[in-house]
Amino acid sequence: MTTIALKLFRTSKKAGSASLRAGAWLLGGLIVCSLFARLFLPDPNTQNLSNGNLPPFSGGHLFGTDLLGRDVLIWCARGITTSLSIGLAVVLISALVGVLIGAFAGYTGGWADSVLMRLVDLQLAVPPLLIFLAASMVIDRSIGAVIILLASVSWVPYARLVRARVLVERESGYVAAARLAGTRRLGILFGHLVPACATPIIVYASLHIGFVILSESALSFLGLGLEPPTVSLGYLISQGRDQLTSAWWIATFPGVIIVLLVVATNLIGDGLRDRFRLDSGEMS
Amino acid sequence: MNAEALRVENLTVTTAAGIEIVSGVDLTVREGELLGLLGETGAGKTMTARAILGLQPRGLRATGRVRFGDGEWISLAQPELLAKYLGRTAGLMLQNPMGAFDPIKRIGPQLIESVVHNGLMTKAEALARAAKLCRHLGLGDAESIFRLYPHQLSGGMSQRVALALTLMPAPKVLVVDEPTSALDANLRVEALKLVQSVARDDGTAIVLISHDLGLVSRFCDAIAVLYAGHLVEYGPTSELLHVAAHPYTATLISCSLRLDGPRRTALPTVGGEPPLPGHWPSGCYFHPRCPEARDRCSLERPTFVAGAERGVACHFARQEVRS
Amino acid sequence: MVRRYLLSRLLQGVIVLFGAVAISFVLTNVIGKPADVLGGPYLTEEQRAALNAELGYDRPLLPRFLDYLQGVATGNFGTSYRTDDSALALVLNALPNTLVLVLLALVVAVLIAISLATFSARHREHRLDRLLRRTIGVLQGMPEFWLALMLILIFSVQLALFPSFGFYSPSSLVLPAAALALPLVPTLFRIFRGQLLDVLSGDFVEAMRARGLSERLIVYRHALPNTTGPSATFIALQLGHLIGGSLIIETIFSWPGIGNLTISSVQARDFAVVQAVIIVVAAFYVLLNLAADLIVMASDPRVRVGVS
Repeated sequence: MTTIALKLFRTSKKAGSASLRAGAWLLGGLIVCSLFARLFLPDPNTQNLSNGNLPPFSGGHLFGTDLLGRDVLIWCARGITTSLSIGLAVVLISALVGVLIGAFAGYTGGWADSVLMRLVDLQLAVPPLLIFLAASMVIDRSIGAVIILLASVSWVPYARLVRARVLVERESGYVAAARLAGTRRLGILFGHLVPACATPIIVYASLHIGFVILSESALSFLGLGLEPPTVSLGYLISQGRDQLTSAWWIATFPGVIIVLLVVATNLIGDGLRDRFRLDSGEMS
Repeated sequence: MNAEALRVENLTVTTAAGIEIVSGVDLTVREGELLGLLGETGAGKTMTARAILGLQPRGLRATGRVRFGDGEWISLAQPELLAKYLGRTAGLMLQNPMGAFDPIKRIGPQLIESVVHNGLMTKAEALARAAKLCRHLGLGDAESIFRLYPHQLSGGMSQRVALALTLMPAPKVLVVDEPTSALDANLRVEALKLVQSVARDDGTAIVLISHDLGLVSRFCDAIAVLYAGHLVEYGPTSELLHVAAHPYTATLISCSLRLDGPRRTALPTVGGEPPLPGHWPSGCYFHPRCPEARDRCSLERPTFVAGAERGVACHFARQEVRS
Repeated sequence: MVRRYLLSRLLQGVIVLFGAVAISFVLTNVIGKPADVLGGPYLTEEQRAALNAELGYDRPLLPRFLDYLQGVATGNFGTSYRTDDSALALVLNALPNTLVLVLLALVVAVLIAISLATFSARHREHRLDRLLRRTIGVLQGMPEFWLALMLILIFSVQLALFPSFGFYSPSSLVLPAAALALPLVPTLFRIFRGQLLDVLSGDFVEAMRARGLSERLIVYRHALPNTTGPSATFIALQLGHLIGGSLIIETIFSWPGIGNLTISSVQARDFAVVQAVIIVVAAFYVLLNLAADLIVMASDPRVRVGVS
């Protein structure tokens, strides 16, 4: 009793709002730059071999150009929305699949639950990148394939999150009341149990986007993800890798952009987590 | 009369937001005496006890001053000065006896750790004292107790070992947070009997924090009643129980079950809820719940009138207190 | 009780391994048709069928899977079509190099994270603590491969302190290990800090303060050891992540581990080797988690000794 009273005095009212604000500004700024580049600046795929490997601040190229004369700044700016939209798509798909499977497993229990938990183990045991690599041998490279590939290993944490919540919530009073009132199983599941998980799912999803962005850039860096004409930051870093000693800017700038993007989405995620006072252990 | 062992003056605890949760509390405990600090949950009794030792949670600020024995006055605003007295002159026993132990270390090293660390004894002296304390507290074979891990102790044993742990440096002042309600009633009484014997035998001054009037009146020589962070009444147990000067104390007394009272009558309760910190009522903090409140009570806060033996903060005290 | 728990964990491990075998089989036999991939688009139908028959892919799926399962159980993971070596031998040869790299990175990351977390927990809400918590997230946003390139750029190209590739001296471990370890620090830092704060807000720490023990003694002798158990489980979980990261890092630094082997096998469509990598990595992870379970038990007398 007393310790509860003591803790009351420690929490501040607007937990996480500083992170939220910083993250939102950063992300908003990046999106605006990217949209500006998409609408008003020339296609970065345009090659100009006579302008290859120009250093920053030369010939009207703020971030310089790569070996094929492509403008690094425009490429970076456009890459922001590519990364973000892949991140969003993967998060949406895997959240949807994960919630459905997790809710089903948690509510019915029994074999479905056991199968899910073993899948969780499996997902932790085999690094996602290894699956991506193996899958890239047999799947063709398109935005759709990359998204499905990333989503196919990303849904498991959502399912685990929902399952854990459902297991707790289904024993609570209001679920029993709904059951007594004659609400059917599906009605209870989607009318009561899934909404109860909404907050942790949103928080996890906001932290997950950064991870997806990093994964996509890794795949593209290895030449197993996106390739031109799709504008991917990871692809540009892979181009810069070969020129590292002679043209450092090609690999450096797209990496900085990725860091900014991930930091921005993570800030929003951290802010949301603090705002809703979720235990960080639940999120890891 | 015994010498003074602990004196607290004008203890005030403030949150970072500037809300006073304990206001201007004065306490005196003599050697070998047990003082019961009585109050409802949230009345600030735990905070009072922690702040006396400089152990209030981070972010809370304490002011006022404290004196152990005839030593010098220590400002409560400087916990680092108070820290020098912890584990030497003053000790604290927590609600939950199991909470006193590091769960992954054996009992023996934990018993001697603080006195050796504080330079009070050598390791051999400490071991000898620990063994003596264990025997004294009826724990049987000390050597085998030393080898146990905390989780291997039974409820009664952990209570005794926790007491031994606190008594290792032979403190002059001991603050005891009410033995946890997780312990069964017999164990609680058993634990308090041990504490009482410590006061009687070693002349230790003890502050017992509790919300249980029955327990306090059975073991304590004097009682201090806290309401909403304010001391409302103070006096020797027998006098206070005989005639309560403050209506709040009177209500508490009438609430506690009496075995000799008439049966089948409804037990009176204190109506209403205690106020929350920061939402203090005007005037006397107790007036919204006071059965005897008059106009003046909601307008003017009563000052604490302290006599030699008794003190009360009420405009219409039932017992005259002369200062 | 303890034995039963360990047995059930072992059983779970076997199921995970079975899952890994199934995944690698499904990826290469159901989703992808090896003959299509190996032969390319220019084969006629007959040639394709002949190639399928030669590789044994014309049989129904189930018997093929059972054969594969039997092979895995007896240590026969097939052969690499590039070198005709046993796939398992190739992977096991490369594994120690990866382990050296990954374990070094893990140790470095854990040491950095624990020191930072201890500092942060001891000085919580101090200015430096806030600064640390705000800035450490930047490390988490760094792709390992980019960090690796930047490290090469700074320490190898500019300062010429460490070699940027190869396997010749201990100093060639520095950059790849750093590139793997640094992005892991923020995650570990948060977990360690949270656990430390959890322990520090506990009753026994307050009791120790009341007994006059110094903050330093409380943190190092009591609070940190109390976080060992939960941390061990979490650290074991990070290893999967690290091995994933080493897949890329190894190709950048030409480190002869399973990462390099995997990428070159993937690029050459050497199915048997990729399958073997998946299974070996999963097996390693299972073993590691069992080890973590044992550490948890050894570090907590409540589990180790039981109630007398």
